[in-house]
Amino acid sequence: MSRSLRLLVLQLLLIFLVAVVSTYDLPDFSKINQDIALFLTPYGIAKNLFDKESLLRPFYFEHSPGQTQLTTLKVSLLCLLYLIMFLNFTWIFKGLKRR
Amino acid sequence: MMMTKIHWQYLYVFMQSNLLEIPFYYLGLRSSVPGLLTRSLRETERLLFFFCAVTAINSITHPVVFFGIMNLDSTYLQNILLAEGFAILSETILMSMLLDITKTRAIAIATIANLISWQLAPLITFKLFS
Repeated sequence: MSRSLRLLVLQLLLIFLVAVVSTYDLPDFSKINQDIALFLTPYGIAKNLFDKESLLRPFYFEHSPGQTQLTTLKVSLLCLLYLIMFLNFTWIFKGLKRR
Repeated sequence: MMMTKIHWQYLYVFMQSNLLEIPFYYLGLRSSVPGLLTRSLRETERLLFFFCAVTAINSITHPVVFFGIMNLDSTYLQNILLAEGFAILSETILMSMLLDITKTRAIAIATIANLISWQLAPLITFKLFS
């Protein structure tokens, strides 16, 4: 387990690097209300789709611009990090399975 | 002096979703940890096992969902349904490879854990950051 834990710490460091490379920031919640914040949750989807008068209903069928704007360089770095993470994952997985 | 902003917020999104799922996997599958039949495991050991297993599995599924599927050239509804379907399916497959459990049990636990984190994670984030 201790080896798996060490590899897991490395995996979390790699996730931190993914966060840094992606430059993702949470949206500005001061500009939106709770209904919009919960737009894509199961409750939000059910509530808005069943309520035919909901103002948010048409947005489910609109084209999504994507929640992260990634340049080619960022995508390449993220893919590289993902490959390393996948390799590390297989070692963690084997360690947990061998117990 | 100019300060460079460190973008840590994806790490927060990942850890929040991960920590919301761990209790459901622990409660639903705690009797299926390998080694249980040969020696008695302490609860902390079991909890640590699920922390490692769920975090490791999420570390390879969550980035695909967040940076891949949610950025596909489709509608909001198609993207979110595909993303959650992928998460449930991949976690089911990996959990049933790791533990000696039936596919039905694995899919039930993965569905419950993902539904809870899918609903609660945006709510908690909104409450904390608004």
